[in-house]
Amino acid sequence: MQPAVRPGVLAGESVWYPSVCTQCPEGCGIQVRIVDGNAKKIEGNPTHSTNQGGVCALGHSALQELYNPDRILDPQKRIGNRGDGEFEALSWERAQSEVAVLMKSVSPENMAFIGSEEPGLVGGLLRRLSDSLGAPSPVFLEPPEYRVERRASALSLGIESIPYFDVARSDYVLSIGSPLLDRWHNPVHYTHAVAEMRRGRPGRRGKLTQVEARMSLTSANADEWLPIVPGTEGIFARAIAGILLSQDLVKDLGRRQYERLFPAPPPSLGGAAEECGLLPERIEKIAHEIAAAEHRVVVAGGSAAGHTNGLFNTVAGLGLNLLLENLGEPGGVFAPATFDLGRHLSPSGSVQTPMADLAARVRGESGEPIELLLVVEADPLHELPAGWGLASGFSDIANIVVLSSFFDDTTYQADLVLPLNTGLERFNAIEPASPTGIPVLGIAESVVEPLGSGQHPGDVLLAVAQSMGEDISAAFPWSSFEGLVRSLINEDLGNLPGSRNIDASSYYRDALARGGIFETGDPSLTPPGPSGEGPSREQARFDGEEALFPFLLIPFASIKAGHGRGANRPWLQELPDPMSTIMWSSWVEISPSDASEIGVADGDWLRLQSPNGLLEVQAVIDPAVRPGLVGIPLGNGHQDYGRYARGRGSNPMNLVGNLLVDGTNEPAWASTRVRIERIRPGELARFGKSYEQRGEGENIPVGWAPHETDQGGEQ
Amino acid sequence: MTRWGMVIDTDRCTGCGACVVACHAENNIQTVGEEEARNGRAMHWLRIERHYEGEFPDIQVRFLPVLCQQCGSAPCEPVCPVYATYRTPEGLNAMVYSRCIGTRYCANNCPYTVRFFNWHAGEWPKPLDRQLNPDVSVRPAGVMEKCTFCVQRIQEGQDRAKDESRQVTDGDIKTACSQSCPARAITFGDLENSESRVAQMAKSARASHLLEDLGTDPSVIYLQGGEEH
Ligand code: SF4
Ligand code: SF4
Repeated sequence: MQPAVRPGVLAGESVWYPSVCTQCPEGCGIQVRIVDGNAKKIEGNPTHSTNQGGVCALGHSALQELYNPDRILDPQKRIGNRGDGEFEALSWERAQSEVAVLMKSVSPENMAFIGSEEPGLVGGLLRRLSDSLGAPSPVFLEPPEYRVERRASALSLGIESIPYFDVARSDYVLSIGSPLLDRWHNPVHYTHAVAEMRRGRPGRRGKLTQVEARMSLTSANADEWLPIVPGTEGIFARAIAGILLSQDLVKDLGRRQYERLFPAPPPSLGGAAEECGLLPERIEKIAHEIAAAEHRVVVAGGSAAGHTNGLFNTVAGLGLNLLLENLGEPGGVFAPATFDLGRHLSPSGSVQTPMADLAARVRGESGEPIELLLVVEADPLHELPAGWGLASGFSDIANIVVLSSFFDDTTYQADLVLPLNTGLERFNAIEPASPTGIPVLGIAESVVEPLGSGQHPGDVLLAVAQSMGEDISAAFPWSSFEGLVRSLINEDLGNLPGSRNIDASSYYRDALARGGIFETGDPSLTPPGPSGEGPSREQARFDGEEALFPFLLIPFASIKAGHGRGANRPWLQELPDPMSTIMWSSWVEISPSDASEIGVADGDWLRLQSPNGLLEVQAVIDPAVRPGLVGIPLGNGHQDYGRYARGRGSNPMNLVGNLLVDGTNEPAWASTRVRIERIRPGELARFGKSYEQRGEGENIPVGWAPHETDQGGEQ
Repeated sequence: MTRWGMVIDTDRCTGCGACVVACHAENNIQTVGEEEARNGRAMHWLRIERHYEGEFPDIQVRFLPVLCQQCGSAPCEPVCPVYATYRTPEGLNAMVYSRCIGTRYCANNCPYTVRFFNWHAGEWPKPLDRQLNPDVSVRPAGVMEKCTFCVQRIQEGQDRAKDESRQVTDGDIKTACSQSCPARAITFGDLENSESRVAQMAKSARASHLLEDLGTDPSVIYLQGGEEH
């Protein structure tokens, strides 16, 4: 724990301490400015290999998580009816003994555990706990496309994790559905990479081509955007393969590897182009461009992985890298590099319960009934589709214990809340969930004194395990989460970079001073190649008949609130969305032609109905929206989550049903159809101008005027 | 002589918004809430403009970070009846909050619409106020504010150099937006120093000023993007 002012630091003096960002699972390296014990500012750690000094909007806002006026500072016990939001504080001793009693009295098969991101040491501890109890293994809440992407990556490239795309050194990036620059894997890393691809090599500018139905922030930044018919991304990729193969634009090795993945001949260009809603010449042009580029890479996932045929789409996209022989090539695709310290905590290959199975248990449809649900730093009620019926199932669970810093939608339903400290108040040890080509372990001490009695989730889990009988507590010999991390590092010391001729404690101290263990350099791990045959081509299925529900809904994670976590920060609420410039609310983006057809004006309140639910949200008329499609940002629509988020905006997941991605157990979140009805006029808080105001009273005039230069400078 | 300036490479900027939040954090900029934001009173010293070109499906987007251009010939300065805004010897268009009487003439005369009026005093419900930057004054209701090129960071860099008995070197001083940008789209430095990165980049054939024909002599230079360059 940090003293308010560290020894040797003067009152009023400003000092920067290294830390690790905990706002998303990517663990960027940061430094925090501390004055008189208070955290003032977050900046990227310029020496860090993942983020090279940058941070994203969400990362900055960790300060408003730390100093949020609505934090849970002490353990809470429900006093009113579940869901009424009435709680009273109790001591940690009492709270912990209540948890211990529950853990001992409920038989393990009637327990269920939900954690946040899958890799990671806290996840490893949770898995170790359920394994030692003999309880069903935990499920981890992460954006569902990640698992589809991992599965696709295993099939096409032979790696079980999200591949690393060496965008910075590429000359041509063909991105199929993957929102590289949005909140997808690491937006800071890939934003830097795209900028370097374009302007980091004088005289050599790479090109980004984005194939995506919706205009995401990534599509907006593409040199060329192909607004494809949603659900046909895989067919597009197969058509590209057809051109490369039939016109002999690829070499033998690539051809052989690709044909192991897809033995069947690719579809005809004419038919594919018609399905994709693109001109055949355009597809051919893309194929020629990528074939001609010296360094090239195909990125796939995101919304392409969110359709029912998402696995096919993603495999077909990633598979093009085989054909083009991009594996392990500069500017191509690599296996992610990781130290994987978590393997010591739970045997790799332990069974992973899909979220869909847990949801079926929660609904009481299959498996052992749940008597005790333990949720660790995750908000499944907010993030999962309403069609999964978690909310109603929760009322039948006798005991819900949640570890959280805020009353988010899940914590609101808890019987007992164990408060967590926030990222800057804790010791951190994080390996990125989607590693780059260079292994990283971020480690840092807390940089401020904690505001309440909250603890690190790892410490809470250790205490829970140690309160159990000897047989279980023996598997958790560490005195604290930090003690655990130190012992894992000691165990692996020989394999860690820079560990030669240095004793373990100096090595550890240096790592803390630097903000972790990481090197710089180029990625080097070549993926082995296809592990089997790709799924056969399927048509995307949609929830809701087109005649009744004419629009396709695409929910998306915005740079503002992400998947929901950012919604309680005033900075992020007031940050204008880069496309719509909307602040403080949700919106539905709709094309001008659809808007005029149903008589909708900008800002109008609309009622959206899907086969699964209803939603009221305001319209943004956007000329970049594909007619027939509507997009709604994720992240708002919380029941509580504090004053800045409470009741604000709406959650598009409330419209999404229970269709799964074929060949996986993951929700097909981009497969819901809706109908739209106008309710009443309204006005949105927006920083720029609306589509309807374009050209009117140009009070924000913008234009380029020739600048007199003496020419011939750099670039 | 020093003239602080900035070069923004629009081919690097992706509109990610990190710089906008960094600016709020650094400069104690208040958030005004939904109601006042709807009234057009949100205060973003730095905004990302999004421009569409063309029609669906052949539609292109350009992002343009816009902040005070720190004009050499600033239209906001001569209209202030109390000299609350003036040009410093280092080329900053400075704002003296304690002189400002809130006529808002300067904002009306700014062609870049980058000046913001404090209609209300800011609110930081406890303990949010613990984040406030002690180097930047919290503005009271009734005064105008805008981007300062992070003058406190310039000061800090100059003080640091002085403590170390050396000159400020190029790259020592970064504005908050420039520091935070994942894309490295924003470069800050001394335009008068011909060796500085900004001075070099300003010579690029891609360089231009915003609304150059107005003759405001901005200190912010934009590099155009796109495949054609
Ligand atoms: S990408 Fe994730 S880890 Fe990096 S700064 Fe943003 S929120 Fe933090
Ligand atoms: S941080 Fe950089 S890339 Fe992001 S909006 Fe600002 S200037 Fe553009």
